[in-house]
Amino acid sequence: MTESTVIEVEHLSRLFGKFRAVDDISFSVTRGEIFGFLGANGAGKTTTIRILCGLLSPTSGKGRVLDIDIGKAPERVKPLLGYMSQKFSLYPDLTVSENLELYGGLYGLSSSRLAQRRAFAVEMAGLVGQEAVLCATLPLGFKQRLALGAALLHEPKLLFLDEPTAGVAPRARREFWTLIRSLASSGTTVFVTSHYMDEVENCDRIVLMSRGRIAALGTPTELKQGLVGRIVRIECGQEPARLARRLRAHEGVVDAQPFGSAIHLIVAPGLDPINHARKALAALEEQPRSVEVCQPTLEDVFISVVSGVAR
Amino acid sequence: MSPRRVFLMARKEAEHVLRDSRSLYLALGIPLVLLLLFGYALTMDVDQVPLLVLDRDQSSHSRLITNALVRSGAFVLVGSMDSPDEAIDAFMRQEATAALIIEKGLARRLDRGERAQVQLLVDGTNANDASIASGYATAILQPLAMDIALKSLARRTGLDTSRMGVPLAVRSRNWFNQALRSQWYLVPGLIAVILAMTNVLLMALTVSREWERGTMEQLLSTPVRPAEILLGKLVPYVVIGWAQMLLVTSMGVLLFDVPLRGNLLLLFVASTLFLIASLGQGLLISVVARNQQVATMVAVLSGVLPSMLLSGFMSPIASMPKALQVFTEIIPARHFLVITRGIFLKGSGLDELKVELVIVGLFAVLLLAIANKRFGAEVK
Ligand SMILES: Nc1ncnc2c1ncn2[C@@H]1O[C@H](COP(=O)(O)OP(=O)(O)OP(=O)(O)O)[C@@H](O)[C@H]1O
Ligand SMILES: [Mg+2]
Repeated sequence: MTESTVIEVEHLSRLFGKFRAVDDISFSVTRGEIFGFLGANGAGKTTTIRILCGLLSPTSGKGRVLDIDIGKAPERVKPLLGYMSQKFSLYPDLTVSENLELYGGLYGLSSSRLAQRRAFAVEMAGLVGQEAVLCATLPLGFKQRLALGAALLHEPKLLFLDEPTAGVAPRARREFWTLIRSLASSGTTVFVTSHYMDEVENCDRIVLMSRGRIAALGTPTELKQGLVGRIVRIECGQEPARLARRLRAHEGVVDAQPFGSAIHLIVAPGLDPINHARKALAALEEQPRSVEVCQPTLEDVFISVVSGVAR
Repeated sequence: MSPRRVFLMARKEAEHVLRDSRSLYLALGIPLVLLLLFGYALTMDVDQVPLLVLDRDQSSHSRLITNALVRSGAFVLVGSMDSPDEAIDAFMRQEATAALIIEKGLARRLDRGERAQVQLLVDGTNANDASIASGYATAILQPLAMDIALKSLARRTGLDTSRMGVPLAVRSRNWFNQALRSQWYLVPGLIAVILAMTNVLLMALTVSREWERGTMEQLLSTPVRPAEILLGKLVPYVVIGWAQMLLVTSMGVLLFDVPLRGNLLLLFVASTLFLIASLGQGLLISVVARNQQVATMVAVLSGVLPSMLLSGFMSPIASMPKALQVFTEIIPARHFLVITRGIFLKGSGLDELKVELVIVGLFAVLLLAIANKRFGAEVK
């Protein structure tokens, strides 16, 4: 573990009964990084975060967070972290101020520091002048930012955000990510999970999780690297799902997924993508409107990796 | 254990209660409703039983019997009838609950010194009222029968029977509740029932609500310890419990003249122990159930119903089947009930109630400890 390593996880597993919610994962996170966890429902993202926050003990493997062994001393790590759980978790029947004072107090802030940090959190959430409003009445976007503010009251060096933008409108999501980036640039390490592929592009590094395992890990560019020049976008108009299914059966086609009215086709490495796609289409006697090579998105990566893992 | 964190948790919990009309209703409305219900509407006293009479004898004896019943105040004459069938009709229409039938020849038989019978029909739908009504009738007519027997003896033998009487008479007096007012008996018991049902239920909802909303997850991610969370939740409800005590006790004393003969401080200490036991039970349910619906159901089944039905509040434990009697031992309200009735009606002190006090105290300690342990295990 080097000076700048904030999280180090080795062969970490967590079982619920016989079910492996987290299955032998290893990674490390360095200071100031935005580290993204991407995965479908039930992939094990929340379970991983809960272990790292000292809320759940690992079944096996090791985890060190801020130089503390979370298997041995989960209580010691809690004061050092900020955590925004997946469910909105401020009290709806308490006011903005009351919520902040509760959490600030629980983290042991002195009253003068609490007043200062409360003002910061209210400002960051864009709720100046609304300190006495009950949280239940706030729009979701504001709630989320307030929850972030609450998690930052004690100025933690490491912040865990579990699907912080779920259900939030696109514009509020963008604003939220601006906040996350500015936090990271001021030295806070951010560990964030998401369902949204587009916003994960903001991360410095990403883990793709599938069924408790790490399917891929790297920067967004690294992850997409393997697919550059292998994705063909087929504009087919009708029934893309059905055509995609038929294309998948074709030799040399790694995967084909519908994307709106089009299909993204991944061809096996080493093949000429356009030629191969045309051949496959001809074999199926299909006449698409257009066939062109396109830049891979994280979604393509995710799909190809996950289907690779599944096979 | 950090006092500041416990205080923060307690303050937040108090705010939840004060802002939730449902909790407030449960905490203070229910006691009020129960008290008025049991105090006014559901008294178990039986008097003024509506009585029908079928008098086929029409003699001075038969009139004496009817008069004796009515004069006692236990029965009111609502009419006379011509055949026993009318009694059933009257029971059906709920115009009468008792019917006295005196056959022809009563006076003649009595005068001859023979045995005679009168029949009392009672509507047995309400078993309790029925047995009390027939008990009254027996008690009222027994001396009358004695009197008739002695007079007839005097007439036939010439003996002076005026100084004679039953050689062995039972003269009972009801200590502690001379007038046998059921409110006196019910209100002290009601304190136990109210504290038990509302507090088990209220507490069962608090932790499960936090599991459900996800706020528990957030709390547990802060440095706050599980025991601090539980203690913080306990404090405001103990204060509410005191308010309930004050409400029920003062209403019982002021509205229903229930005597408070024992030591107030002892009552306070015992109630606090019992409160903690009930809250501990609620906590345990709440910690394990994790969702409000299940928690409510378990609280009703394990807290509300047993303390209402099996604590001896309404029906005496001695008249329950043996197995059930043993079972009632694990209901804290059953033991606390002995304490409240003792303090209110008998003026019992520490000496008489120490066993029950220890039992209630043990429940408090045990239930809290188990809840704390389960909570500690549950958050891992
Ligand atoms: N306490 C638990 N007991 C039993 N199973 C659990 C528990 N917590 C999680 N699981 C299971 O572990 C798996 C992983 O859950 P987890 O919440 O980590 O997924 P996730 O990636 O966060 O999914 P989502 O995107 O839906 O939040 C799921 O199948 C879930 O049902
Ligand atoms: Mg999750």
